[in-house]
Amino acid sequence: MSGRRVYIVDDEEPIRRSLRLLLTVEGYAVTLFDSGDSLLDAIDGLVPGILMLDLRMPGKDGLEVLHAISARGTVLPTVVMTGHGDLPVTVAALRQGAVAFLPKPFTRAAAIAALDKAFLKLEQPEQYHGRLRDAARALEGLAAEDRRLLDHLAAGGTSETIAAELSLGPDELETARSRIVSKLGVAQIGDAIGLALEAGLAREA
Amino acid sequence: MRSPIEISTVLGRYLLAVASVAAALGIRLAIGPLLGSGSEFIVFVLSVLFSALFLGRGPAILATALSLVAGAALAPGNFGTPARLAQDTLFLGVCLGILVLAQRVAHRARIAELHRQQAQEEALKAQIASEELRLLLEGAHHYAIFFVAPDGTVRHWNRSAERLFGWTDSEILGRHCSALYSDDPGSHETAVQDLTRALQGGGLSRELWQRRKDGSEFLASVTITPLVAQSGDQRGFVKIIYDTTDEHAAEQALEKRERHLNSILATVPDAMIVIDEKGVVLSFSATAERLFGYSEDQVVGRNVSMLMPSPDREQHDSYLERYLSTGERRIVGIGRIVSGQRADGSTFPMKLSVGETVSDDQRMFTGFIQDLTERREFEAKLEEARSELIHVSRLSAMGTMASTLAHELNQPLTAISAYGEAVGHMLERGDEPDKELLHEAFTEMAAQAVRAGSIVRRLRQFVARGEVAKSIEDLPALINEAGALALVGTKEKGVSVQFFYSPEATPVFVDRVQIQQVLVNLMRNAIEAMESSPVRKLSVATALLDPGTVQVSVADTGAGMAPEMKEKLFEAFASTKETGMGLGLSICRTIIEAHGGRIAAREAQGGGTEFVFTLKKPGSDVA
Repeated sequence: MSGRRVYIVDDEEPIRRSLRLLLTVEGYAVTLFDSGDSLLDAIDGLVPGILMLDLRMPGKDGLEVLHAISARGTVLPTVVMTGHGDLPVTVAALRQGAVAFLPKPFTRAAAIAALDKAFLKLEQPEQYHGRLRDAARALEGLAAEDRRLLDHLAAGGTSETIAAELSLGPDELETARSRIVSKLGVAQIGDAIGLALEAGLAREA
Repeated sequence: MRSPIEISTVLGRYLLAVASVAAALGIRLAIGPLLGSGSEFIVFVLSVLFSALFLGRGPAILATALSLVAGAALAPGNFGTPARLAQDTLFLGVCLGILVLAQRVAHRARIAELHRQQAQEEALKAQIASEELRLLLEGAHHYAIFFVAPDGTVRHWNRSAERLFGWTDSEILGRHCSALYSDDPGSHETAVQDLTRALQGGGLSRELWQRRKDGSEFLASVTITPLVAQSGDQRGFVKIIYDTTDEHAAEQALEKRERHLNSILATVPDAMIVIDEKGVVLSFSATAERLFGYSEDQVVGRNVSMLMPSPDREQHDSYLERYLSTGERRIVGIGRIVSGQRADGSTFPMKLSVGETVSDDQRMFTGFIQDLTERREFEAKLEEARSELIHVSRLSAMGTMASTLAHELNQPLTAISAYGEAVGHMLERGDEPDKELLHEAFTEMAAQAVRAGSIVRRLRQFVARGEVAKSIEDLPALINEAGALALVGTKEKGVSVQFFYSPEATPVFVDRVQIQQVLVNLMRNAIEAMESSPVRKLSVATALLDPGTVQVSVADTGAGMAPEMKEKLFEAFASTKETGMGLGLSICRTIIEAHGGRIAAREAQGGGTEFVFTLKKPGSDVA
């Protein structure tokens, strides 16, 4: 076991402990923090690793923690854990540099896939950027109007503003979303948004 | 039968006859020597003639008989001789002739008398009729009535005509009737034309300016009737004229008062509609025009039910009839929250207050309407009605609560899932089981499952909020109130709402507030589902399924639902809406099942979705 390091930040103990067990069994070395502040306090002495961050927390919430990390210039690829119906917050987190997101509750496989992606960025940046370029290519297969919709979503637009801007009805919007999801072969629209953001990063790189 | 000479008694007349025969006998005896034999009866003829002419038939016959006896007495010797027989027969023949003649004379005299009397009566009648007609014409105070000859000259002129026009009859008679017309260049032609038209049309009535003798003019109502004899001869015209100036002044005063009233009413912020007892709109205020999107012309004269959605639309006439026949007040003088329907078919909640007025035997109802569409205003109004307030606050509290609970529920589920997967993976790999780890995992999983269960229980408790407070409720009234609440803020969505109530499907035994929550939830869902549909029609219907069970359906014309959604529709957290918690329908199911009913969704006829749930009637056993 490589003992790759994962830092878990969640305000609830049962979550922290259960995730530690799950990841320990998988061979990760796990360190727990009960709040964003306790992580930030300790951040300078941390070995390189991945952050699993809860977005809904009392005190500093996930977005604020992400902001603080990028402000310090620390490299800490992050997977965010989100609740149901938190799409706007999720998009905001991805735009802040989060590599992947996990809607609670999640399966072991989903957690491992998200962590793999994050470790790729940490350990093999070249391959990670290759993945981003793949994402950009995948997006090229989308129809222009679907691409426009996805860009709007990735830019943090809400359904209402997008529907108004692209003059789509709620039903058309819904159909377009499911069309994008199936075309890109992802599980949900959030993943598609992640791809779009990755593609954007690929262009910048 | 009376004799020409008035003899008062019958006996008197007969005595007179006897006397005349006696006189004739006397004369005969006195002049007998001059006459010679064979002429015994000559003198008696006179007495018979006298009796027949003046005393009548009876006395004449008596005189004849007496004369025969006297004649026989005068010549007793020749009784039975042929000469004597001839004399007697001749005498009798003469007497008979006299009698017949006298009878004829009397008859003629009687007929002549009858004719004279008739003529007298006729003359009297004619005199009375003529007098009455004169009185009628003179007595018609405000009506100038006069005759006009076929050539247009004035013939007869009554006193009212004199008063109205200022002409005396001696001045006007013989002049052309155009002298009474307004002093225009073509007045003569107009007057002649009027007469011609009256003749052709069998009469003419019109309003026109007339001129008095002094030249002043007045607006008059003129009626011209042609007089045509039975033979077809044209005899002239009757003209009846009266001054309508005062009438117009009264009309104008009325109009002015009405304008004044309207200007006051225009400042009333509520929309105002006046209807008669048949429901026909008499007045529709400017505010009502703005509120309903109809102009006054489009509404006045039509039934007010056009401003209501079903079922009020179909039933308003019977509401009115019931009120008029029973006097039972459901809305008059009370005021209620009901739905209105605009010209574009959309509906809106409104507060309706109705007042009743009776004038000139006409009963009218005046409705004042406040638009409750503006939510803030609506909520302010709701503060007046406690039960509705509870409704809204509970609805919004439920939303917040549901959202919080859903997030809370994710936490134990995440822990359970992570523990479960970890242990499962360990066993799968065949690791040496670490007892301590396993113990922790299973203990925690159980604890987190219990925690999740308690969250769900809290949610159910919140929804049910202790005991279900059931009572017997009128289902249409319950649905109408829920409808008014659900329609808040749907103004610009252009949804038309129809209610169909089966008269048998009421009352129901339910917790009013809870069932209204279900209805508001289903109606709001339906309205949201139709946001992008070309046709936006929400139908709510009730029906009696069996004697103890009532079915309520809420159908939309939206796009319908995906098949995979249909199965888990009523499970918690299965939402088709991006912002939805997926709790609305599961709460609906909890409530309906607590009432002993069932809820299901199916495809509506002609597309869209229809939600159907059942309720129990009072008296039926509820599980």
